[in-house]
Amino acid sequence: MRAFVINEISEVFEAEGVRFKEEMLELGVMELGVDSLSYAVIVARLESKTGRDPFTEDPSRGYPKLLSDFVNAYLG
Amino acid sequence: MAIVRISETKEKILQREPYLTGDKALILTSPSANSVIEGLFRLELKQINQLILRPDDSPPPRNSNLATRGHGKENVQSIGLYTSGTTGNPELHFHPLHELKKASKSSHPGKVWGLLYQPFRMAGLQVILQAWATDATLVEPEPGSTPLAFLDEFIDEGVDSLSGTPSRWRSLLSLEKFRLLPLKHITLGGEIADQVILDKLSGFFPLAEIRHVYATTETGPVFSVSDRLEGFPVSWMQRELSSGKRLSLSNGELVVSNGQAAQGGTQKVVHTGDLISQQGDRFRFIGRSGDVVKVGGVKVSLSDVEKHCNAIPGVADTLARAISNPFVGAVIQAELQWKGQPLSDQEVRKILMKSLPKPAIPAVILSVETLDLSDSFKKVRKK
Repeated sequence: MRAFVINEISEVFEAEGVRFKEEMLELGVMELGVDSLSYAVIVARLESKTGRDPFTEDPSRGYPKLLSDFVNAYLG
Repeated sequence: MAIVRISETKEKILQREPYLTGDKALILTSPSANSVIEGLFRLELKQINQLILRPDDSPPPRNSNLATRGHGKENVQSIGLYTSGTTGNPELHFHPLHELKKASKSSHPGKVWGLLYQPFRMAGLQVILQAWATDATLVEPEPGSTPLAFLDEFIDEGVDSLSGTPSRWRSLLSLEKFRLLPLKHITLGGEIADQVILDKLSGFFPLAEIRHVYATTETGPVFSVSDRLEGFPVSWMQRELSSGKRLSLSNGELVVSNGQAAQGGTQKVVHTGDLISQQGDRFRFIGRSGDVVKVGGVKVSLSDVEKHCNAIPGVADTLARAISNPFVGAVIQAELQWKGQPLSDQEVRKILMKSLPKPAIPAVILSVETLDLSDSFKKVRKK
């Protein structure tokens, strides 16, 4: 699942001209040069492929701070 | 398959039909084209003054409706139709017969019409009226039969006139056999007819007369455009059209009113929900007011997304939907129906990026066999 999520992130980042690297996981989601629409697109694509949207399922989760928070939401 | 030859039916009805004196309304439930034509003759012979066509699943009309909603005058002959209910509960609206007939002038006698809609929908009724007014032959497929099943019969009967929604035309055009029809008269209505579909039809049927009509269930026929260009001329605004209607603009929305106020009648003003924008000497339809969604604060027209997707080589038709999203409210999902080899999602997005702003690029792209169409062959955006 982790690889699946990372793959989706890489694809969307690449379309934005940002090359995904593992060390980005410990950076804030808004420090990576991609906007909230890109994260919205990742959530929508993962939901269409896996049927899961952890951010809507659990609204208390809020907006992820670090990119790793975003990935971990799918692993819970 | 029922083949209705109008002139034969007329004679038959005149010979055998007993007068139904005292009847105010004739209610036909899920009628066939044949029974609608019988109803039209009864109207003409003044045996009834209201003909109500109702789908099975509509609420039965209340008697009080019949007297009060028939334009205030009991002797006005009218046809009652239910709205399709895609925007709420189905509602009964009456359309005076003389207004409906205005739109069915006898300009092309001897045509053979194929019926692609249910007779109790405005689009179906218009085809029936057209055939009735011109003594044409009407070919009605069995309810529920597939295009491949009825196309052979249409070809055998020499159907040369068809009316359909742009969605219906796009799906029919994806069938090789469909192009064998000797079409001379092509009518589009019920949805936005964009330049892409008009150009495709012109390409396959270069000699046909192609027109797109604008009508609403509330107002009936408003205008018809036959210059093979999308939208309508700016000069049609604010003057009485041949249908007797008048167009105006309110916050980007097309408003239709009848011209009766000047003659002391009751004026009916309908806010159509159709959004238009002026480009040069033309108004173009850009979507429905309900089709505009906000993606990350930016307004996106779902019709506009579909139009751009349909221009991609190999795409037969597209259905764009808004899907809710925890981060930006909503994002766009596009279902693409391919007639050729499908392109990858990345290739589709790359093409769309050239002409659409980023929020309008579909986040999710699905390739589907068929699109979700309503029973009046309009796209169903809400699940």
